[in-house]
Amino acid sequence: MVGASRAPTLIKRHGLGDGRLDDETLCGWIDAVASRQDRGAFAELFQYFAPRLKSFAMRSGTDPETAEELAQDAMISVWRRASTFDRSKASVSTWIFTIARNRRIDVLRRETRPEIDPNDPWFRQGEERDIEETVAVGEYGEMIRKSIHDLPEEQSEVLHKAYFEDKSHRAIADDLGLPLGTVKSRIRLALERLRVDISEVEQ
Amino acid sequence: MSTYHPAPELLFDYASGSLTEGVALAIASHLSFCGHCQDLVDRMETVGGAMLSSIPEEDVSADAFATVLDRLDEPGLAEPKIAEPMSEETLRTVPPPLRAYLGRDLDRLNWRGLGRGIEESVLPMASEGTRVSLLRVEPGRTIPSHGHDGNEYTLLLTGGFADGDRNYVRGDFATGGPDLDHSPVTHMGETCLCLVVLDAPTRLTGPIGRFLNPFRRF
Repeated sequence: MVGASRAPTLIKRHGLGDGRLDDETLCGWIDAVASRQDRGAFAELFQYFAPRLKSFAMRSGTDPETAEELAQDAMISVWRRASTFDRSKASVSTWIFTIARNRRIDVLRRETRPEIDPNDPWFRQGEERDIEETVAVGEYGEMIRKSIHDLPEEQSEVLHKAYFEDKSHRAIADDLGLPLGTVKSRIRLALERLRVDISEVEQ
Repeated sequence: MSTYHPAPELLFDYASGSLTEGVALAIASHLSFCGHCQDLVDRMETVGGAMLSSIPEEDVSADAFATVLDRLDEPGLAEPKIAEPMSEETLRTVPPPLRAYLGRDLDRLNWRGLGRGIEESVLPMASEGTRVSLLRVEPGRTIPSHGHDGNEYTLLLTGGFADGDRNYVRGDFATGGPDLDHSPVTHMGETCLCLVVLDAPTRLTGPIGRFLNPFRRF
């Protein structure tokens, strides 16, 4: 599928045993794309992510052709923006999730996604992040991936609707015929189990 | 870190991508001031990344990769244009996600006087469903009593206001639900500039509100 332009790539694959690859491997490919436009590394990224991105797009209700276009668009953004990827801030899967999410908003809702750009000079003079315990990005992502599989069905259901089906709290409540409060508490419980501490701020 | 933050539900809907543009703009602007909420959104996005890597795969067509390779050299999407260069003061005051929506210096926006020391400039959105504006209020003024049919989200950019026993200053995020009927008072000293996002029409409660309610034409 890769064609004649594929260059040999020296990055070793580290599987996680269930078809997923670890962040080190994925970071290596992104670095190769960023530093030397390595099409071999890009082919590996494509092979890994394109089928996931197509699946992601189909779950928000798009037909397979549109889903494939969205997946291709997202992969083109990965190619073009590889040099802006910062492994100290996000894992590769997280970064690609945000690209696909924004693309979905652009194409399906015809809206621009208001976003912060951590490279903007505004943030350089800004405050320190108040992260109490600094966990390595890849490690934290790995921990979350493991915990996600252990979530009770009713919690993983609401996460799927939110992340894959583009549904807000309100839309999920309507969809499942549940009170808004029930959806809020299921999402909160799921986030707590995934170590996203949302408890203490004033609103 | 700011003192007052968006509800975690809003941060979550922002991270998953389901917030409407107007509310997402208020959140992104708050994140520009608040490392705490940035960290929460990062973590929520990490959950999204973990879910993406665990999703069951869908076969892509045999020529998909070749198609993508062909498209790599196409011109990229243009960056959102900022119509005019902005002054130091505007750049210092307005957080980056909000700048493209202004397109010019704060002083060169279309300000509409609403009386009582209040001016408003409505910001265009690509989608309907929210009403987004900047509100500029002189120090020491009372914003007329108004209730809401939906939610009102306010991000403070300069100056401040007191609402009941709470004081909101730069970077703070105030949320007013449908049951709130309030009349905030701006702090003395500095002009109060805030981003106000309404996700439903405002109901008027005060006697003068009917005439100068800034949220009237939803």
